[in-house]
Amino acid sequence: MKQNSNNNKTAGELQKDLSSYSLNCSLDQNLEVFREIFRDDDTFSIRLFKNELDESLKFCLLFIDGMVNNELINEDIIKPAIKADIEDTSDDLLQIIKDTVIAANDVELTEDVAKLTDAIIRGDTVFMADNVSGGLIISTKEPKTRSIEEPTSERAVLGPREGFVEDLMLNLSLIRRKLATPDLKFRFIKLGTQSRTNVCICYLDSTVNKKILQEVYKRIGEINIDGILDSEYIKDYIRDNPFSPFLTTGSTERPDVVAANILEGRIAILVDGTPVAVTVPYVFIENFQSNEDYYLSFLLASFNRLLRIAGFWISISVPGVYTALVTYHQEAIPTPLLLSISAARQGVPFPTIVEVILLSIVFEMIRDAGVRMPSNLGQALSIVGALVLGSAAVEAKIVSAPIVIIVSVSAITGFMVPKLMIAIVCYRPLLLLLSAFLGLYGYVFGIMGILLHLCSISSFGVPYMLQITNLTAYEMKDTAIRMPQWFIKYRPKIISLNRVREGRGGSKPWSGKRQR
Amino acid sequence: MVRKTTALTVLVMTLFTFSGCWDYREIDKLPVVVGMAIDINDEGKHVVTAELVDIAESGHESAMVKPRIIRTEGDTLFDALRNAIAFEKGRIYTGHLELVILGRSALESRLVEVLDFLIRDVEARMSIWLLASQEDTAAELLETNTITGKVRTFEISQMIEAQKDLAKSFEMNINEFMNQMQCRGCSSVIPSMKLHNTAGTETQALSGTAILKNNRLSGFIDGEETKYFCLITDRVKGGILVIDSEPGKQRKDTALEILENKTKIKPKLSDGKISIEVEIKTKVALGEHGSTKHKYSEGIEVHKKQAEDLIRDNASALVKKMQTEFDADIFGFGHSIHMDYPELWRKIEDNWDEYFKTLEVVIKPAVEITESGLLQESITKGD
Repeated sequence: MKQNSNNNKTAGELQKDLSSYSLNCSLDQNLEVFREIFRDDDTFSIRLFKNELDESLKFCLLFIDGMVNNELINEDIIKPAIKADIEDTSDDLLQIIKDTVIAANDVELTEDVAKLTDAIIRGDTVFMADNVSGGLIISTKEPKTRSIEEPTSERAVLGPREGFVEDLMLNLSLIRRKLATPDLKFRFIKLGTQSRTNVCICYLDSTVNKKILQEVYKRIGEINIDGILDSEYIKDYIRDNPFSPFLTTGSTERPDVVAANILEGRIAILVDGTPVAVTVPYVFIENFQSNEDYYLSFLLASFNRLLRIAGFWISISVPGVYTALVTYHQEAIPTPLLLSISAARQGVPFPTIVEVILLSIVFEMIRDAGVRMPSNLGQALSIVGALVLGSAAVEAKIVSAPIVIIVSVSAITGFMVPKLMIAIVCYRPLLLLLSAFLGLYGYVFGIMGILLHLCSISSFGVPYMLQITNLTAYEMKDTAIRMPQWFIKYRPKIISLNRVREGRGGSKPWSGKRQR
Repeated sequence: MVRKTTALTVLVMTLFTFSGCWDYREIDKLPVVVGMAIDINDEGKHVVTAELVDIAESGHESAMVKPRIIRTEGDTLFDALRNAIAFEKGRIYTGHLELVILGRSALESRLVEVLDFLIRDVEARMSIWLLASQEDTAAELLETNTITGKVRTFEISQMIEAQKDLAKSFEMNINEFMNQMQCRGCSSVIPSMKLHNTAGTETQALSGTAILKNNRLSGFIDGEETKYFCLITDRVKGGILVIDSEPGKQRKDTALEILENKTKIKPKLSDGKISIEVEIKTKVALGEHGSTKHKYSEGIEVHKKQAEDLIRDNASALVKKMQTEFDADIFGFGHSIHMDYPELWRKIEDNWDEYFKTLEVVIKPAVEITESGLLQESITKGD
C-alpha cells in the first residue's frame, strides 16, 4: 500500500519529500537517508574510507557509478583525504577539507539534501565525514559525449564545419568562442519536473529587443511538463500559431547559425541533451536562407536563394497546375504538348487527379521510409522506387509518364527548402484538390489563401512576412537576394531595436584604387 | 467559433458557384480538331470537313499522332459541329483549332455567319489561320495529303509561317480579319490556297490572295501580285525582287533579297482634290548577279533604278487593277484618309467606291542595296 502511494507521487511532492529529510552528525544516519532516497537504484555507490594518520576520521563518497571521472576521485579526493594530516577535528572539518585537502576546481559545502541529491544525479560526488553535518559537492562530472562533427542535416560546402553535440555546456562554449564578448548573456532555467533539464537562453544584451526577451521568459516560464528530451518539446509550447504549417521558431544544429542569429538581435534557446538549438523570432524569409549563403560569393548566394524561393512555389503548385491545365484548360497547352500528354494517357484507367494523388502518396511513403530505414537497405529502396514506380507503373498503364515527371519535379523542388517541408506537405494536396475541382480558379484561390495566412501570422510579435511586404531597398538587401556584407548596414527592424550594424563611421568596400 | 465556421463554410460554398470553368474533362477523351474546311452545299447546308488528331497506340513503341478526316453537315456551323457527336467520341474540341479553310461557296454567301461562330465560341482561339480555297470546294484541300503525309493542318500552318521569306502570301488570322472586315474604307483579303502538282504528287500550295468586296468573294490575284500588295500594305518581311541587270535586257537575271521594308501611305490634299502617295522604303541585298558586263560597284545605281522601276510598275498596275476590275480598296486608302482627313472622309464616305475608282495613287519606291553577300565584285571572265 505504501509502495503504491509512493509510485503515484508527482514530481513536486517528491521535491517536498527531499526537503523533509535533514542531515545530522552521524555518518551512518546520513548514509541511511541517501540509501532511502536512492533505494532500488543499483548504480548508486557509497565508498567509505579513513584517514591513515587518524583513523577516527571516517569519510564517505557518494556518487553514481558511470557518471563520474574515477581518476579524479581516486587521485584528487580519496588520495589526499587519506594522506592528509588534519589535527583540528572541530565542526568546520568539511570547510578545512574543502580548503586544504581536495584538489578540485568546484567544491561546494551544503546541508541541503535536495541539492546534494541533485548533484549526485548529475554526476558530481558528495563527500561526507563522520560527526559532521552536511556534505561537499565536488565536481567530478565526466560527460561522455560524441565528438564535434558537421551536422548531417545542415551541410555546407564552405564555411565552419562544427555542429552542436548533446552536452549543453560544450554547446555554449562553441557559441562563446564565436562571440567573445561579455555582452553575450547565458541564462539557465531548469525545465521538466522529472527530467530537470537545463535550458539556456542566450542573447546579446545590447542588440536584443527586451520586449521579445520578456516574452520568451514568460512563455518558457509557463511550460509545465514532466520531461524535455529535445528542443521541439519547448518549441511546441512557445510557438505562435501552433496549428500553422509554417514554423514560427527556427532550429539549427550549427553554432555559426546561432551566432549569426544572436548578432541580428535574435534569442537562442539551447536545451541540454539535444544538439538542436531554437532561435526566435523566426520569419518567413529565414526558411530560404542558408548559412552557406554567407560563406559564398553574394552572386551565387543570391542565385541559389532565388532558386529556393522558386522551388517552394513550384513544389506546392506543380501537381495542382498540371491537373488544372490538363482537365480544365486544355486550350492553354501548346498543341504538340497536348498531343503527347494525350498519347501518354491512352489506356490509363484512372482520371488524372487519381493518378496524381496515387503517385504523390507513394512518394511521401518512400520519403518517410528513406529517413528511418537502415542505411544498408537504401539500395533496395532506390531500386523499388525507380524501377517499380518509375518505369513499371508507366508501362503497366497505371499512371501516365507526365505524372511521374510532375511528382518528381515537385519532390525535388521540395527538397530544396527542407525547412518548409511541413508547409509543402500540407499545401501541395490542398492546391491539388482545389485545382481538380475548380481549375486554375481554385488554384488562384488557394494561393491567395496561403498568402493571406502568411501575412496574418507572427513570431513573438514580429510579423512573419517581415522584410518582404515592404519594397524598400534597405529591407530587401538580405531577403530574396543577398547583397555583399558591406551593403547590409542595418539589422532587421523590430527584431533588434539597436539597428546600426557596424561601428561609427560606417564601413565601405575596398575602393580598389592603388594607394600612392 | 461557430459563427466563424459558418462564415467560412458559406464562403467556400460560394467559391464553387462562382466557378467560371466547371468542366472536368480528361485530355485523352477529347476529339481535338486542328483544321476545318467549310463549304456550303447546294441545299444551303454547311459542310464541315475537319481534321482531327488521334493518338495511335502502336505496341511498345511511343504513340504516334495520326490525323483523321471527318465530314459533318448542319444548317449552321455550330449545328454541323454538334451533329458530329452522333459518330464521334464526344463534343468536338475546338480549343486547338489552328486553321480554317473557307470554300468559294462560303466566301460568296455566308462568310459573316461562319466567322461569327468561330469568334463567339469560347473555345476557339483568335489566332486561327484563315485561308480561302481557289478550288471548287475547301474540302479538297484538306482531304489531299501533304507532301510528308503527316497532319495536314500542322504542315499548312508551317507553310503559312514560312511564307515571310517569299512574300507571295501573308499571314491572316481571325482576329486580324475581323478588324479588317469592320474597318471603314478597306476591302478584306484572305490568302488563298490551291492544289499544286509537284513531281507527280498532288499537294496543297499557297497561292495568291482572295479579294473580298463587301464581305463577298470577288476574285483572286496571283502570288506575284500579292507580293506588291504586301509591299504597299507594309506586310513584307522578306522575299526577293528579280530584275533585269540593265534596262532593256529583257531577261531577268539578278535577284535582290528584301531585308527590311517600311511603307507609308500618305493621303495628300491639294486644291480640294485628294491623292495618295505610297512611300516604299526597301533595304535589299544583292543575292544573285547575272551580269558579267557590269561590275557590281559600277552597276549598283543601275540595279537600284531597275528595282525601283519594277516596284513602281507592278504596284501601280495592281492598284489600277483594283480600281478598274475589282473596285476593291484592299490597301486601306480610304482608312488612311479617314485617319488623316476625318472631315473630308465624312463627305466622301458614302460614295467612296466611286471615289476610289478615280483616286490618284503615286508609288514612290526607294530601294537601298546594302550588301552583296560574300562577293564584292561580280565574277569576271579569266582570259
